Amino acid sequence: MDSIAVTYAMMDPVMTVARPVSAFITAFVAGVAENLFSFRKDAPPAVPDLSCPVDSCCDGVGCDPKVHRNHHSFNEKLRAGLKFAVTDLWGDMAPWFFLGLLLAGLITVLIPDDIFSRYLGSGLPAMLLMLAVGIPLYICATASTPIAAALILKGVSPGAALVFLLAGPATNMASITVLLGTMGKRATAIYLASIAVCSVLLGLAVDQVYIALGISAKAVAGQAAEIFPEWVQWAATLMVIAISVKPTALKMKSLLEKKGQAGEAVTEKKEPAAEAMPAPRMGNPLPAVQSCSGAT
Amino acid sequence: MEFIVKVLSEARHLLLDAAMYILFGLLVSGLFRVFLNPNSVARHLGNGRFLSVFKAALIGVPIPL
Repeated sequence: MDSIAVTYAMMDPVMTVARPVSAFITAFVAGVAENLFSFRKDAPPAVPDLSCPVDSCCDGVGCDPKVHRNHHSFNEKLRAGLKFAVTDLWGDMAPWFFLGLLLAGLITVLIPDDIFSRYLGSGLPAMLLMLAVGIPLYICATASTPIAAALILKGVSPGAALVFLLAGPATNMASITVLLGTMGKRATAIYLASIAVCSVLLGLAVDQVYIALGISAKAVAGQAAEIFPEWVQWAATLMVIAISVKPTALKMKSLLEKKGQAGEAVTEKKEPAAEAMPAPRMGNPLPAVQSCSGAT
Repeated sequence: MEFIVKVLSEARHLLLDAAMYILFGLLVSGLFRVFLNPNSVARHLGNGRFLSVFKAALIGVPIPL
C-alpha cells in the first residue's frame, strides 16, 4: 500500500496501476508454480496468531473472540494500530528507505542524462540488466521506488523500470540463501525463475501499453506529488523524519557493531525468514514484525 | 563536497514528494493490523492449491512489506 502510494507520488498513474497488478501476477505465478511442484495434501493447516494486537491481554487460545471483542475501545485499537505502523512497520523500513533515497540521489547526479536512452533505453537487454541488478539487491518496495523514478528520468523505459521494481524487492542475496536452506534448491530455482520470467514479460507488456497510449513516462514522472502544497509536503517530511530518526540510528548502530565483530556473525541475518516466501506458504499471514521487503 | 550537497538535495526533493504518501500508507497498514480478524485470514489462506495463492497474492499486493 505504502509503495503504491509512493509510486503515485513519484511516477505516473499508468505505473501506479501496472505495479500492483504486475506484482500480483508475479506472486500468483510464483506461488502456483511452487505449489504445483511441491504440493502436499497432508500438510498441517495454518495456525493463525489470535493473540490480542492491542496489548496481548488475550493469547487467543483460552479466550473467546466474542468476549475479547469488548476488551478494547475503538480509540485504543486505533492507537495500537498507529503505534504498530510507526514503530514496527516503519521502524523496519525507514533505514532502507533512506538508503534508497541516497542511492537515488547518487544515480540522479552521477549518471549523465542521456546514458540510458543512448545505450539501453528499452527492450530485452535493458530488462535483463535490471534483473541482474534487482535480484541480488537488498531493497524494499518503498525504497526501490525513488530509484526507479530516477531511472525513468534518465531515459530508461517504464517497462525496464518495472522489472527493477518487481525483481528488486522480491529477491535479495540474503533471502535467496535462506530459501536455499529452508525450501531447497528446486523451490528456490522455481521462485527465482518465476520472478525473472514474469517481470520481464510484464515489463515488455507495460512498454507496449505506453506506446499504445502514446504517453512518455519521462514526461509525467514526479508530477503527481504536486497536488499537495509545499507546506504540507514539508510538514509530512518532518513527520517522516521524526519517526525515522530512532529506527535509523538503531540500525546504523547494529551495523557498526556487526562490523566490529567481523567474520563472527556475518551470516546471522534473521530478517529474511519472514519474507522469504511471500505467496506460497501463508502459515502466518500477518506476522507481528515484518522485514522490509516484498512483492510491492 | 559540492557533489555530496547535490546528492543530498536530490534526495531531499524525492523525500518531499514521497512523505505524504508514506504517512498515508502507514495509517492504512496500522488499521489492517488491528481491525482484520486473523481467523478469517487463516480460513481463506490456510490451504488449497490455487485459490489460496490467488487470494494471498491479491491481499499481499497492498500490504506494505
